[in-house]
Amino acid sequence: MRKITLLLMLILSVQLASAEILLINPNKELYNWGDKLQLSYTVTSEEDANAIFKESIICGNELDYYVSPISLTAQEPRNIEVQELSLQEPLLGPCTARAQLVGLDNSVSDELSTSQFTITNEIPITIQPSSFLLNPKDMLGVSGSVRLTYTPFRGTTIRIKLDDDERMLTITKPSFNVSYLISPTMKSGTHTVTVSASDAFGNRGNATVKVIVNQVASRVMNLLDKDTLAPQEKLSFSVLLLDQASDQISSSADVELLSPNGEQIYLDSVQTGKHISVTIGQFYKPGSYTLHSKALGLEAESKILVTELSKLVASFDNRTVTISNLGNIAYNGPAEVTLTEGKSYPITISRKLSLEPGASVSIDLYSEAPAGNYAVAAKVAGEGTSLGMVNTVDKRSAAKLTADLVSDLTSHAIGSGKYEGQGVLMKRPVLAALIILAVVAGTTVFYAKLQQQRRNEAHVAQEHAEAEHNIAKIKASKDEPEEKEADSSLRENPDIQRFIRDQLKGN
Amino acid sequence: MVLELLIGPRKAEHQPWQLFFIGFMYCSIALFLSIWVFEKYTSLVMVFLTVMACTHLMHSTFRLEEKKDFEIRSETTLLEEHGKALSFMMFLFLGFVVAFSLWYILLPSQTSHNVFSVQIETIEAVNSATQPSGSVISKSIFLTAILMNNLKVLFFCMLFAVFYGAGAIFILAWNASVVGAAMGSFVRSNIALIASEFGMGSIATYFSTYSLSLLRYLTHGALEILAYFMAALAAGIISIAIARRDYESRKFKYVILDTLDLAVLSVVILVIAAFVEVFITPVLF
Repeated sequence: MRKITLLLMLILSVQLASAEILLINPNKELYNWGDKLQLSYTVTSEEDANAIFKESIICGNELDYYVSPISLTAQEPRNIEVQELSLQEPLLGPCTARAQLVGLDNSVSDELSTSQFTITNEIPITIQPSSFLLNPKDMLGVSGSVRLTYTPFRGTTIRIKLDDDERMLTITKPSFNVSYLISPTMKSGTHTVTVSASDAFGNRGNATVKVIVNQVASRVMNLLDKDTLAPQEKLSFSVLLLDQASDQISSSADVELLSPNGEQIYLDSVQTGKHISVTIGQFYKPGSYTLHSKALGLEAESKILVTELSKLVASFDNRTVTISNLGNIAYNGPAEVTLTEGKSYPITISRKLSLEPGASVSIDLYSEAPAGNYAVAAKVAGEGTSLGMVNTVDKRSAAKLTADLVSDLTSHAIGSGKYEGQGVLMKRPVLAALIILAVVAGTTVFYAKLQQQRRNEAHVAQEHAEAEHNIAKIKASKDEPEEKEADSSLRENPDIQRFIRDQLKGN
Repeated sequence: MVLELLIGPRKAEHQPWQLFFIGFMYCSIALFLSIWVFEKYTSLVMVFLTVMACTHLMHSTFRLEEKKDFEIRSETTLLEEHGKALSFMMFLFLGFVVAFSLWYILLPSQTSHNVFSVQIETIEAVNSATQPSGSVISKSIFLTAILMNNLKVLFFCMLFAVFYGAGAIFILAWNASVVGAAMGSFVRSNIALIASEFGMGSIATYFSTYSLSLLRYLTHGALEILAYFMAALAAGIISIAIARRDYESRKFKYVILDTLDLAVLSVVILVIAAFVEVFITPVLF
């Protein structure tokens, strides 16, 4: 204790007259957090003295981070290695370091400030894409490097993000390289590649680079308002040319409409995205139509169902009733025109029609009915229509006239001609043939037997007649002796004898 | 005189099947004669010529049947005797139908259309009058319409037979020609269809189609024609009785009774025929 007290008294007794501080190693201009500030000085005094060496860092606020008592010998430079300072928060921004030599009386005999340097937490990043112009499915390479002031380079986390695709990697050297596969459905246009870096000391850095993804036509699409249509309805559609991300591309497209049998019924060049209307023709056959579009070498097909339309219209021009098929299917069925005069039984003109779409048939009323004033009505496909009045002149053909006269004498046996042909025998015509053969065979056998029976009866009857004739002769021979000889020969005949016995038994 | 006298009523009653061939022959000769001589009016002239060939036979038959009314007391026996006449008449009608239908099929299309022009028009007229339908109500209406039409024909048969004796044969020959035309038309329009659907050889196809047409029209048609012949026979007997002044006889009441029996029976058969046409024939065809 006594020694320490003596030493302090000695120190305090020595006064520092003049001294000089020199910086040996110059500082860097830029420091990242995590870097170390390491300064060395040479202090020279003209005389022996005791002093305190103090090192401060000034980044807005002054921070003394090194204080050490030193003993100086006159004219003998002394090196001072200031303990290194790890730079970290909150040291940030432009800073200087200052060294002071302070006497024991707290007077500053010399001081030296370093040149200004910057402490930063930013990490400068440089990045370079493999290509700035890309197509879907291309590979994008992103290479780059980070720059930090401290050495050795320590693990830095790198985050690379392209749209929503973020990759993270820890690098142990300043450079990095990442590859991206451009998505087949990536939207066209400018995309940003963002690279972020961070280290354990809190340094942060960002860098971006923009790349452009080309718009590539990927498919053509027919957008139909509806795909089931009746004749005369409008087929409304637009042809869409879409890129890889299903965004529309403006272009022209060739459009054709094909009938069920492949016949081209519409052809046009249209602008993609534009609304188009095509009227389904009145007589277009029902079935599956194909809308075929082609743009930039891409094609699309859509099926459109044209429904059946059964439409029969009866019109009248004061003499002729015209039945027209305005539907798109053939009409095979009956049509009736009825002429009614007063309270008399109406005249029905019936036709079995076979009308293709667009076809019509005319019925001349003058050729169908006797002269008269008739109310005309038509019934086609189950629908009746009143057509008005007509004053007819009789221009019926001879055949028609006669047929009308004799129809009252005709049985309805022929009415079965109207049956639909779905019966048992219609499905098995062979059965009909077998029935007819059986009837013919049965009839033949029946009459053959009847014939045979009649022949037998006739034969017996003939025998009877002959026998009766012979009996009469025998009776007559009793009165005529000259015929006895002949009679005796007859009596000996066994047939006659049997017949006589039968006669006697019968009596 | 040759054709009419080919066969008499007694022989016809004994060998009724012969009337099929005689009927076939009458029709064929009538058809070709009318085509040759009365080309424009073949449709009706061939019917008239057929009727002419049958007149003597029909008249003789009515006389014979009327005579039986005086000789036979038992109504059952009498009906059996009438049955013989009716059977040969049916054969005769069948001969007509087969002849007309075969010539319709065998003649060139245009010719057969000309020959049967009136018949074709009549078929259209008859078919336009009524429409068969599936519902019960429609079927009852259809049945009534058929029955009314056929009763009308029956009435005309009797009327013709009363006034002309053998006049009913005109109506029956006419109906045979119409049925024949309908059958021929059916065969022509269905032969190709049946051949393709059932893959039969040509002869088998023709035979099957023809059998089909025969059954199609005669399933109920045979009953209708039988009814018409019965009615014609009844009226023919009355006609002969009046002509011979048999109404002065005490036995005339038996004639009346017999004809009434025949007339009522014919109506009953006609009703059955209508039922068959409405409810059975559609099932078969």
